[in-house]
Amino acid sequence: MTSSGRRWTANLAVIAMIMAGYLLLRFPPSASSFYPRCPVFAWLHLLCPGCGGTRALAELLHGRVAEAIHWNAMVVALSPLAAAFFAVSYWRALRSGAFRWPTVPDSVLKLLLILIGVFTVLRNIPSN
Amino acid sequence: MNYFIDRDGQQYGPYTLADLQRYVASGDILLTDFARSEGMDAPLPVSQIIGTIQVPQAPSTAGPVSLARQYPDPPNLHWGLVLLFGIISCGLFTTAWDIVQAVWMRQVAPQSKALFYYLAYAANLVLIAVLSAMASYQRVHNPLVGILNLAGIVVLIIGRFSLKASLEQHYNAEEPMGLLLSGIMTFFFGAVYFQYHFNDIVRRKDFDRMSFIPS
Repeated sequence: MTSSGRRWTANLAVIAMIMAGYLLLRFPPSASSFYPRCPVFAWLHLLCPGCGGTRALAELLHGRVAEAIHWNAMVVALSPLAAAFFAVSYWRALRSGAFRWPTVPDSVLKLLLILIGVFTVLRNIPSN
Repeated sequence: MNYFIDRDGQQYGPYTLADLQRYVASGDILLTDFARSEGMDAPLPVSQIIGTIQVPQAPSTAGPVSLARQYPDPPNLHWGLVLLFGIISCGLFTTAWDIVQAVWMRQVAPQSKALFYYLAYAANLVLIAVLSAMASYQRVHNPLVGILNLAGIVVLIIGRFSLKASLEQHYNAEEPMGLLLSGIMTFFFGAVYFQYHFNDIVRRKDFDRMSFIPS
């Protein structure tokens, strides 16, 4: 991909994220029915690690951290890391020269995937 | 002399003897795989072909290096991150990444049809969301949603195998790197599995490029 094509794609991705943020602010998932249902929950009736993530993001955008944690603590915890990752990616995409995705150490990735697995198991254990 | 590998009813190659030795060393080709050349009546195990012949490594890097410069590298986001973002976005990121991979595939192999299937899958998702919202608003059950869900899965699987075929074609002909992809892994893991191989391909191409730099 050329540098101009890469910048165009990066700007398009940012615009899409802003639009998604506006959508979540204007039409919160708790009051709107058009958000797609998680296929894992719909078919298996199990909470996947991302279940409640959209609601959690909507609550975060409204500044309600406690409610966001209630819906999906993992998404809340990972949001700053994901935001930092995409911010660095965007900055690199705007620069000239070859694009490289930011690297994350393998050990950190493995730890995150293990934590997600544990989180998924824990959230599916009945509380009573 | 050029050799071809027969595996699971498919043929890969051509490879030089040096390529065979290098791919055996990297694990991409197994000693138990069968190979044949133009002059052979029946395929032989790779172990019998490469035997103990020592082949200088320098000539084998010259080919891939010169080819590696003609095609753009595949997208190189770590496969673990593709999996991670896919999980926390309930698969939406994976859908977008499917399209990114297919767009790259079209750049290196314009005849690839995977992008068409992935775009159809994404459009189907939007249609399902709209129909679901309408059904929910009208408080009715729309059976078309279930049918579209099923059709979407079929289109997605076809897209994955289309991309698999394009990748194997490209990395065994235009850029011979001995790429062999598992059908089962393609079926279940799609973009994450392809990304694992993309990371490996970029690593190998980087290595070739670095080893080709004159000291």
